[in-house]
Amino acid sequence: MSRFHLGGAALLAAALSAAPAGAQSLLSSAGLGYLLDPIDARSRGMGYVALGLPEPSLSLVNVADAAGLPAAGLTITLQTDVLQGKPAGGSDGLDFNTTRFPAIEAAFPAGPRAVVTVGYGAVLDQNWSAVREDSVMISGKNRFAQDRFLSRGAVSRFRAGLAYHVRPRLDVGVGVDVYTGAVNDSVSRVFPNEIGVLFPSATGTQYEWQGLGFTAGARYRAPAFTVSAAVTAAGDLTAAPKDSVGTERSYALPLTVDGGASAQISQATRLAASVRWSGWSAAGENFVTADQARDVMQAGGGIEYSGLRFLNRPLPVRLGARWAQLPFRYGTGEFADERALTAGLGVVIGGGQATLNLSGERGMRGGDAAGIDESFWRVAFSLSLLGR
Amino acid sequence: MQRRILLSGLIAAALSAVAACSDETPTLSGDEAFPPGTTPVTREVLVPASQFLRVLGTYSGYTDASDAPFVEIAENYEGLYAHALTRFNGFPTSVTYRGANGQRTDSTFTYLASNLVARFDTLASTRERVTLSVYAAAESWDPGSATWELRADTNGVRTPWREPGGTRGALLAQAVRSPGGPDSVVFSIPAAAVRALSDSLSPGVIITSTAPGSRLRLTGLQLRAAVRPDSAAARDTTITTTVNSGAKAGLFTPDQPNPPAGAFAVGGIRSARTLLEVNTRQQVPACASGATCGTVPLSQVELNSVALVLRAVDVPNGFDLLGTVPLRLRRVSEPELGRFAPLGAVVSEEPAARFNGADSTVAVSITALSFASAVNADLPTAFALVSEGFGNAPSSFGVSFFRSDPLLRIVYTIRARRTLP
Repeated sequence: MSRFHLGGAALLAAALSAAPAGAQSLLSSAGLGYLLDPIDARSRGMGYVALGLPEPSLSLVNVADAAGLPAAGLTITLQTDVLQGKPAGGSDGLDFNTTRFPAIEAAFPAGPRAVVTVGYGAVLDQNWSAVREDSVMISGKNRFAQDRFLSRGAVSRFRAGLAYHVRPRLDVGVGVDVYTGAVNDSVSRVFPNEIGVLFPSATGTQYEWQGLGFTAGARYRAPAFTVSAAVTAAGDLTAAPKDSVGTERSYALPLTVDGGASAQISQATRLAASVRWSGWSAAGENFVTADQARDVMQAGGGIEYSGLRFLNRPLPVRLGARWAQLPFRYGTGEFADERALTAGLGVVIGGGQATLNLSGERGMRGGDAAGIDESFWRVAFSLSLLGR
Repeated sequence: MQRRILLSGLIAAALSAVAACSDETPTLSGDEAFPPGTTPVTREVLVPASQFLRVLGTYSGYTDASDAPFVEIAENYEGLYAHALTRFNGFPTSVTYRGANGQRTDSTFTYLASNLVARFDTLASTRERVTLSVYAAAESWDPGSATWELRADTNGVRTPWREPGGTRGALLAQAVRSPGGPDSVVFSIPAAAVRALSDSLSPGVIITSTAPGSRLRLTGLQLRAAVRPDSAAARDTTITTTVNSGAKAGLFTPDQPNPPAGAFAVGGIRSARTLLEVNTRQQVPACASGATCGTVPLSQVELNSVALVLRAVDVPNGFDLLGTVPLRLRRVSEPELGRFAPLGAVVSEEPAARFNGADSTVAVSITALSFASAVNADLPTAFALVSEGFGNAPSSFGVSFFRSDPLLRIVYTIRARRTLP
């Protein structure tokens, strides 16, 4: 077995054995959850520019980006968030941290022009909880009760794609998306002062997410610049209850259009920018409460400088910034935005046989008007292996 | 090789990072943070006996005073009289002491005035000042069959006491038990009486109370016999040896009463038990109190507590309960056998029920039983409500009477589900 296969197997084992991911935001409680970006650390370091870069790469944003990969490849991204959140009107900040694998993707060349890709990326995060205190009159006495609502779940997207090198400068790709995942709700009540007298109660509900979608993308590589675009569409995202009590619900998945470009402004410096539009308001049409979802824009840009070397290896350094609208409203507040400054670097090993990219970002989302104010640090690293 | 090491290091770093990370679920607080439909609602429902209970019978006579690890002493406590009888075992046949010439053992010795220490269960006793008397028993008795009237009832031969309650001989000693005092009293027994008690044919002593309205639970007796070896040169050579109470009997009159109509009995010196048919498969409202809705079976709610709420009834003749008693619900598979129905596993236990007179209540939790019954309709529904001490012993002298219409108290939480957005 080659080093590529050994390394890939180890990384996949690590990903699959990881603990269930925690939430990345209190805004996971809004709508269908908190929107996630299944992109690698290189893109993150450049302001979340996930398409429009010239090199063949594994991407869950534009399936055409894999065209030109000379050998089988595997990319896995690990992301850790440290957050401080505060609901509007709340006096105390809430600190928490989470770790997840937002993107895992593999590619296999199928002839001189085609590359087959498979990938698994996070779409929506639905991990969050709420607590409250109450008193219940039982046998003439008020009994103190603690309640907890816990949501554990996520929507992920399994993508199978084909990237094709159409012309020397033009790549295209198409893919099929299978949306999957589950959300497990539980509502529990305990009587901490009545242990052994009043037993705790807990109700659990499980929904499975199902959906089907399609994607297509293209990339044009000129000597000095690259432009790239992708469109993703899907049918309904259906929540199927696992018991006979719950009722099935469906939400229209959004049409998403991504565009990005990069330009080589010097021998070692590249500028990149991307923009995304997602029609999440379609999902909101099926919400019980109206006006809880909106169409959102996301934009980011960054710069990559490749003039540094470390241990005689290339050491690209990146800086970026991004801004994104979040699609779901928290409570009765205004829709929230997210903005962040990003940075990153990469290490190329073995002449490109393995690449390690690191990124860090400092951002904030929401605000008093949105009902939740959060700030966060996010660190991600991606390891890409090429089996040549 | 260098590449391989570097690659292995990267993979190890990735694995370590994963292993080191821990997730904390972000948590909102307050009512408004709960999604619609997820606020738990807990209700209490009291089910009348007619809907869940049938009393199959009350039976008694499974134990008597000789089975009890205690002896009751009473003097006209609401009409109850009770005396304690005991003999002593283990008087010394020789004594060993250290004299001027070293250690010696002497089989001839003289009993001196000695202390008889009586221990009481203060929680199961009345609290007034009581003078207790120790008499020499004047007639022999059989510990397994002695009653207030009979000193022996064996092989069909019933031998009465000359004096009901145990024929008393000489008054040997008296002692006072004061309210709030220690849980033991000490009687000073004259030397001649100690010598008489050491005779293996001695019928022992009778302990009585002289205070009308008193009732005490005697839990232990020890005679600290003081002896002087005849060979001891020094006149002050005294050795104290402990002689434990041997065979004992509790004599009392009248006998444990039966429950009145509309009540059933549990426990007491006769270990009364009541067979019940309990149907915990009830229907409860599926909405918050004050709202109008249908009912659902217990299998469709979350049970916080299910309990039999027993209401006490006055017990006559001084057999009311002092202190606490354990109450147990045992499964009965053949209730049709009535008093001979064998008892099965304990399904519920209230380890220390206490009553404060008539109309006070005690709750016997049957939550676990209800959990099981809610999902398994085939579980038997017959039970015996008993009060048991260790082994086959009665748990108390006093008996508990309960109204035949206890309540079933169900505390449950209505299942809460999030409505997806």
